[in-house]
Amino acid sequence: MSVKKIILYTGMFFSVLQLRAQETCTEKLIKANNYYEKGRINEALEIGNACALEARSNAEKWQAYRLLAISYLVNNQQKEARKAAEKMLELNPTYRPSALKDPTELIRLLKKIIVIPKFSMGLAVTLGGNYTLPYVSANYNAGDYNKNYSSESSWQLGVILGYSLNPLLSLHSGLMASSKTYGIDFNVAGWNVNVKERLVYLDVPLFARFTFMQKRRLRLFADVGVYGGYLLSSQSDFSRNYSATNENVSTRNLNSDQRRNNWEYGLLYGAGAMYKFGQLNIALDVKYYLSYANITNEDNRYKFENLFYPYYYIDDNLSLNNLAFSLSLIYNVNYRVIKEK
Amino acid sequence: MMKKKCLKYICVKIISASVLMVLWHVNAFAQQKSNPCSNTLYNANKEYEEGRFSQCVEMLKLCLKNLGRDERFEAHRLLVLSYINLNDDKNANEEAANVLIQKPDYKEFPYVDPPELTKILGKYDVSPLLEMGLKAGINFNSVNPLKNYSISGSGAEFLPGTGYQAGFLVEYYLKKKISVNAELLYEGLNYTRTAANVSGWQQEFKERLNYFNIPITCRYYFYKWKDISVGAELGMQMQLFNATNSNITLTNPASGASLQNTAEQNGQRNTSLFYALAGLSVKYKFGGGHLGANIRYAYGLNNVVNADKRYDDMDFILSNQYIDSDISFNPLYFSISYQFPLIYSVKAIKQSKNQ
Repeated sequence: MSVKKIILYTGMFFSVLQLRAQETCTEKLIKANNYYEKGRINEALEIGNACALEARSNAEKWQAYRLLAISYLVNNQQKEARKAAEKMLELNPTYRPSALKDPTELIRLLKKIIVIPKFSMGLAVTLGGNYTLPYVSANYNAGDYNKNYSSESSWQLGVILGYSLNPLLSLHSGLMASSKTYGIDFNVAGWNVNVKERLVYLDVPLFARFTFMQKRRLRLFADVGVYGGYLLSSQSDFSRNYSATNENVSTRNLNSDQRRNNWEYGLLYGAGAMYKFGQLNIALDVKYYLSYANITNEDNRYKFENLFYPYYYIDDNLSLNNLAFSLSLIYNVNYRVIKEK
Repeated sequence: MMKKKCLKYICVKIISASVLMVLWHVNAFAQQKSNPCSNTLYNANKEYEEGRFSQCVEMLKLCLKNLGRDERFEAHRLLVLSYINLNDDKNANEEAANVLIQKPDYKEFPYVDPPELTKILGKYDVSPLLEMGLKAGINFNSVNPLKNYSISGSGAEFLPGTGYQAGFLVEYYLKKKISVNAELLYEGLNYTRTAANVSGWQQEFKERLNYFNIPITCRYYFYKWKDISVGAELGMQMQLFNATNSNITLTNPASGASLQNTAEQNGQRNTSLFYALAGLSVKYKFGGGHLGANIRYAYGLNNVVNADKRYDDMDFILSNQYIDSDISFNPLYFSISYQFPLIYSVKAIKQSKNQ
């Protein structure tokens, strides 16, 4: 053999080696998949493990972990198979196993792994199901009469964000615009006085949610937490009627910001059910907001002569509790795979 | 007698149960017979694996419409593979687009496919066509005085107020970098008008207005780095008036006396306002959607006050020595949003002439 030929063959040999080294993971995985189909599981595993580390794209990583999961299952290495399947779901948490392409064992394994939403974002709406329940802690009257408070229904609308700590427990907070409406009526000196108060708060609830039956489509949950709110607007309607002469006097849409404290706060608790549609969930829940804040600005209680003289009205000390039935549409932004220890 | 009754009861129960079972079986059989597509995917896959590609195509074509979403994806994938083997490039390309329509993230999470399939799928680009989301934020509303009106001839100063906005958004992509963004927001705009000397009194008029706002902008994404994209936008917005509530305070600097009054001036406000918009938007890919931040300046094009009804509430005007001046608003909006894709677009990537 001439020196030229030796150099030529050596060159060719190194070129082939170089080409092999340049083989992408996609190409390697096709080869590994062929090994898997021919039952050469250990060779498939070797390439799969190498590609899981070297892969440049999510697509290659995903293919590698899927190949590893099915190969480990054939080798009956359950622990390793589960780890690979967990990695699969970490990359693609909404993956729905294919009855055609995925072996039954893999489908079974994937179904065993719990995937919970990590961040969620929900739009909560309450129309007509938000009942304000006034609680009077001290009465103040301009005469010998008793005020009768009545609950009225109103609305709530807001965005709630959630973060799951584990399958059972998640933390939620957000912004809720909440309208609180109540009525007062009393009789004084032959006059029947009616007051309607409408307050709109921007509430920030912060609560823990305990979710049960995490693996099912229909899940139940219980909430407990606190809330704080800032008064956005408040308006009052005053009217009085003298029954003997049917004389009416009224003042509508009176701005009552000066009579109100700006802040409210309290406890909240509730329960509900949630139904999963892919990345979306529909939740129906009831929450009770127990307020510890007096809504009346005590410094300004006696400053409103325009209410005192025509309507004999002075504000009581009162807090507004709320019972809200709401419907929420919750979108799971991303997911967390619960790993086996 | 009792025994006989019991026996009769049991017999009736058994017969009715048997009839029900027979009916159920007949129904199931009839359904199976009437639905020849019940095992299509499995059978077509078998045909494919045994190399009978034409039969596989025939079976799938017949039953495509009867398959569920996941099955339809599998069917289109099998069709591409079959057409590749039948050297039918045209149909293979068409079916590759269908694969991506059924599963837009398939290129990101594929099975280990033959290189020919990966190559065909690589010819298509998948991007969101329509995104929907929620948006909320705060605004700083500055007032542009158009014409001053005053009972006592006093000058006035307008101070900006902080408000809020929240609502829904949709973004429709005309091209990958160009989109039309439409929103439906509920917003509160606030401002204060002060006059130092109104017949010897200091006057402060605070107004809170609520509008439904429909901004429509055309957005161009001029910068992209990893998962972040930045866009500039131009557009228009229309505000539809909802409600207003005003609070006026008159303070006498000499005596320290203070008078307060409120008014509902719904009738004295124009029902629709128009604005020119310019803004900047930043989007960050987060989870299945995009987290966004947006800054937008709106330039009011018409008068907030309904000039024809300026003098309608003479009681309020005279008792408070206040009359509405002509003004327009120039709010600056800061918002955050989260939007997720609803519909995807699958388009063939233009090949260069050399290829």
